[in-house]
Amino acid sequence: MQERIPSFLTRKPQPDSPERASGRIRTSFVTKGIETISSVLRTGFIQWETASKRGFFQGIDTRVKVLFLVFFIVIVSLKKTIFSETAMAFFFLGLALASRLDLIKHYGKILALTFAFGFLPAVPSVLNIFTPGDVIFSVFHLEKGHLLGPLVIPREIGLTDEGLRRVVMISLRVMNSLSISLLVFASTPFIEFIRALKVFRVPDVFLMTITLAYKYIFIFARTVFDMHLAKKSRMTGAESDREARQWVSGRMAFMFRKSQQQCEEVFRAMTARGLSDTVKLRRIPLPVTKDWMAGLGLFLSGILFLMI
Amino acid sequence: MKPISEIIKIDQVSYRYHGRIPALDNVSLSIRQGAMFSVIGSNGSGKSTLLQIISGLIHPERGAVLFRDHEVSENALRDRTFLKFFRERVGFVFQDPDVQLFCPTVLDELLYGPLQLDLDEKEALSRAEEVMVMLHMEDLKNRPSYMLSGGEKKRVAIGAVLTMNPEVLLFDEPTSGLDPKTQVFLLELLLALNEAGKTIVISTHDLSLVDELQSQVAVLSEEHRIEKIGSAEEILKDEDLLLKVNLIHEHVHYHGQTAHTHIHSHYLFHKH
Repeated sequence: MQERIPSFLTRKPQPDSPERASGRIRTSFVTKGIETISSVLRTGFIQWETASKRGFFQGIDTRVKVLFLVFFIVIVSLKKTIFSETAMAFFFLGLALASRLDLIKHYGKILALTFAFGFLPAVPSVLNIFTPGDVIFSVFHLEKGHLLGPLVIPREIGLTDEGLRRVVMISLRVMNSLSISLLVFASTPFIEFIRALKVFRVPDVFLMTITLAYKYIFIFARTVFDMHLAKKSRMTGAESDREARQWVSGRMAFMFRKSQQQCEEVFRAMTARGLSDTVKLRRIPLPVTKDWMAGLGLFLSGILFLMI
Repeated sequence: MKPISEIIKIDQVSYRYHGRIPALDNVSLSIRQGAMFSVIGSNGSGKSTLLQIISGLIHPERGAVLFRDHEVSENALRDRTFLKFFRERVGFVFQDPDVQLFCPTVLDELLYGPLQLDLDEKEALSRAEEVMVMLHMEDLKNRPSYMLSGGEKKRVAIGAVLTMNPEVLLFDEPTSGLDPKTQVFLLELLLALNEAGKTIVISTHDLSLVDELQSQVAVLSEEHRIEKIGSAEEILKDEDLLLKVNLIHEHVHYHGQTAHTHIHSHYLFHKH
């Protein structure tokens, strides 16, 4: 082998030290995008870690949690007073505390989503243009009122008491719905959550497909990140956006091929282990006393909230 | 200028994946220029992470990596001159060649590195041709990487790094998934490259490879710490150490009707 080593491989690169600095390299949009993809792995890991903690909600049977989720979302939608919604918000906060969630991150997510999907869309309804009522804070005065299609524009435009209540109510409902949903998601491993959907008679083949798709997202993210590292190891300077796009398109084709190959292999592996025309998943063990007690407690809490 | 004998220095490096999963804990070692160096450990001990940190692909949470006395940090690698200086000198061969091969054909793959280094095309082509001859892949020149076998892909991945003529070659699990003939070919290649002056660093749990290469060895424990650094002979003799880091194990089997327990590594210690 030694005699076949090309002569260029025995040459030493010059110089021994890098010359003086010649500018910085900016991070390309592709690199930023791939780093975002890799955060999928991190998010998945954090979800799994949180769901594996020894907390109140983590210890309950997933089916009880799924039923709790549906039951409380109905209650949140039925309630019409700010008091009851606020009481429920505190109840969910208590559950999050008992489940040992990172409250800052958990509520950071909830509040950001509430702001985007609850508060912002509802905020115009504070004005008396959309919600008629007693103006408590005047914003604008017109010389006379107008009629714009179905909208009545009054002379005095301002915030109404009813409008404010409506915005607070919508925001609280969105926040509470998110609190329950994210509490259940954070305290349940995703695979368990999917399995618990059997309660609603979701077919096994569908559950298996979701499970495989979820698993593949992680394999995909890992492979994409490894490909990015492999390219990085051979990059000696900045790349143009055009080069980056070319690389991405080439790698997309590779991933497509790999996905097809993997799909076929998984199917063969399933066939080799007895798959015929139906998928059969194991039955989940029945809930134990602790789960029934927790379920009863949550059910009674729900009834209490319905009554207040 | 005094000759630098220590080409890579790892100083108290710690790393956790996603800021949570520990991969390396306070690891320190140094690698001499022209050395043959192996990092061994069981699965998940942090071997591949260590190699990726050495090659500046990921960066430690704590501690420092020095290449020829220059710190290899995220910030340093944003400097154009240093990036070129470093990547020209340190090559990385990934365990899975699929992630490494992204050019349309084998020839493009071999030319990619030299062209990044601003070599003229003639010189780059000449390097690619020489590497193809050395690695017996002249016939693969115009093939796309997805039409290659596992062993061929590995050779192309190595060739793609060699055309850049790095001083240091990092191989992550070089023999994993290869047939015995390709393994022998790779072993001879590693020895020849080392003989030609290249610093070779490999991560592996293949003790026979370590023995064949007679390298310096750093043993990583399952707690992601350096357990011991020494010569291949010294490390491979230390059964207690290899048992402790799970590179060999006790195993029971039968001779006729008699059950018999002994240390087993699938290589060195299958002795009765």
